[in-house]
Amino acid sequence: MSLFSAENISINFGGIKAVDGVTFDVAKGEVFTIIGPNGAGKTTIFNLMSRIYDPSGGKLTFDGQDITGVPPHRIAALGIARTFQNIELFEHATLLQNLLLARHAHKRSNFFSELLFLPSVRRMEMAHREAVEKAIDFLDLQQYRDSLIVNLPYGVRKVTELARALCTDPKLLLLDEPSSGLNVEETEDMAFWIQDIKNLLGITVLMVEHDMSLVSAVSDRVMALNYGRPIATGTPAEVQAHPEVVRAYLGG
Amino acid sequence: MRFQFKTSYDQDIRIFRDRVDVFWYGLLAVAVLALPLLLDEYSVGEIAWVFIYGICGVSLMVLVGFTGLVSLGHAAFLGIGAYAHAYFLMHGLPWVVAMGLAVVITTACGLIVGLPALRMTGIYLTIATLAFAVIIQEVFSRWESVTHGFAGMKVDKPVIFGVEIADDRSFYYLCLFFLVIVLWGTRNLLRAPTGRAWIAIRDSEIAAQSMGVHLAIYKSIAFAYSAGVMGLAGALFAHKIAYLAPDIFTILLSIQFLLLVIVGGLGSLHGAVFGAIFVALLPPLIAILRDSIPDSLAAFAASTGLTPVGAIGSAVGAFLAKPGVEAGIFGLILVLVILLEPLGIYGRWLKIKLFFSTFPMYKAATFKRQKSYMRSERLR
Repeated sequence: MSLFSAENISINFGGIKAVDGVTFDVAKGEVFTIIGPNGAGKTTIFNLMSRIYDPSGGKLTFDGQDITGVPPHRIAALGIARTFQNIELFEHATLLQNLLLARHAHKRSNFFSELLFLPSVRRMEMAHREAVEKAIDFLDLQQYRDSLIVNLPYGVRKVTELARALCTDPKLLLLDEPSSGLNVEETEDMAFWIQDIKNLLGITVLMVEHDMSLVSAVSDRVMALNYGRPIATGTPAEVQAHPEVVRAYLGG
Repeated sequence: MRFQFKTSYDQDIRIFRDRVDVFWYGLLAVAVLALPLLLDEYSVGEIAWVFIYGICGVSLMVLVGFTGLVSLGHAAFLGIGAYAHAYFLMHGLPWVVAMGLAVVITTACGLIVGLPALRMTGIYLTIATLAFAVIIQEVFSRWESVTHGFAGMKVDKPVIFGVEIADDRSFYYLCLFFLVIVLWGTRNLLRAPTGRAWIAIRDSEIAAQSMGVHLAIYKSIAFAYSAGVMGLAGALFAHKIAYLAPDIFTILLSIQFLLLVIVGGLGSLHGAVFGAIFVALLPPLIAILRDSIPDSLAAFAASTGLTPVGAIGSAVGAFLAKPGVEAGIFGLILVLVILLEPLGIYGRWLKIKLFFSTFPMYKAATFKRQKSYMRSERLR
């Protein structure tokens, strides 16, 4: 059974059809990658899934529920977490605060109990901290726990964003170019982590990626997009060899 | 150097990190409590201003420093709180009830003004709050049945549960009490999900949303809470100046509050208090210098025979006595702070603390990267 499915989704910006009738589904427990040249509509699909954009047509289903009309702040509670292409961390907060914020969808307190910091709030905070520490241990971020994000190097920020997404306890993880800006070694680490997320945590991963070595290393299935339309879907090797894909990247 | 060993998550949650913290804050508490016994009544009255401005500072810090929404209309909330409190007192309500109602009314106003904040960002929101402040000031002068317009409104000394707070010393403790309450409540919010949601909205709205933060609700809460705290400060402010008139709550006062949080250091509660000390004590300091510099330099000139020194003294005194010099000094300091220390007095404080705690291994480069401005300052 598929965890997520998009049926015939489209969106227009003015006269440009950024996503034009895309249909795909992501099975539970797989790593599904979307590739395509610049401007193919990959990130737009992510923004449609996290409900930042409203699709002009089509239907999104997650875990058996229609999420086409769900407001963006409800998405995290449903179990979809994402990272951003150009890191969107809370820069003037510590790494710990960034990760704790990811627990927001699971909070069980109201304004007044927080104002008085009742014992229930303290207990909840400790429980959140425990969940956050698991992600910190998983991704080896211990030494940066109390650093402000502005003081951290780019590679660590990238991992922090991954950790923040994991802290929401997602069922589906959307990774928008996890390797962009990382060096070869960091990209290898990222590949291991994505595999661990899939195998150890059992989280389904949907990612957009350009680095074909990373894509072939971790993906179960790949979909290639061009001008907002899917041109090929299959295993990484199949898609890479597909004549349409070659034409999209190299022209001709 | 001091190392902190953490053995429980609670250590990161509680307000005072360790015994050393408790010691220093305890010392500060003793000093603040003992101060009225050591100083004359006039100085105690001036320091009470620090506490009132401190409450105002916390109010604006929540909005500007933590949520990233810049308001130029907070003098209006102060005014609403002050007038509401005075009005209810005049109609014979008990002091505590009058203050509670003043806070409720300003909170409601904050919610209403916060509504456009859900749609506007940056400079546009600032302009909207400015417009609100201008309208409210007009309301103060025209709604004579409540505010008595330009005839003004006298505010009596507070009488709490039958006890009159008659002298400046008791009022000092009253203001201190409320500042501590407000600081405690705000600190609680900041270490709970609400405060983190505010910070998230300040730094990245899109990420906050994707992590489950309802932007509209948390922006409204920030506006309402900020306004409510300002209303509380307004009630104390009314007693402090004892006579309310519409021309007190002008745009200049709003700008002064903004200056307070920027000079104090955006994004820290310490900053609100540091800024309050600066804003409340700079004018009396200028007044003292204005009076003492000519006299002391004249005395020095008379004893040594250096007449030019006496002339310089009287020139400095005359300069400081000119109208507008105070505002000029405020402006100059604001410019210098933004240029040299974006984190304000609190940023400087952190450096001094680090210097002593890591002595002799302090290196300035530790803070090099932190000289980046917050998004709320960039007015995206």
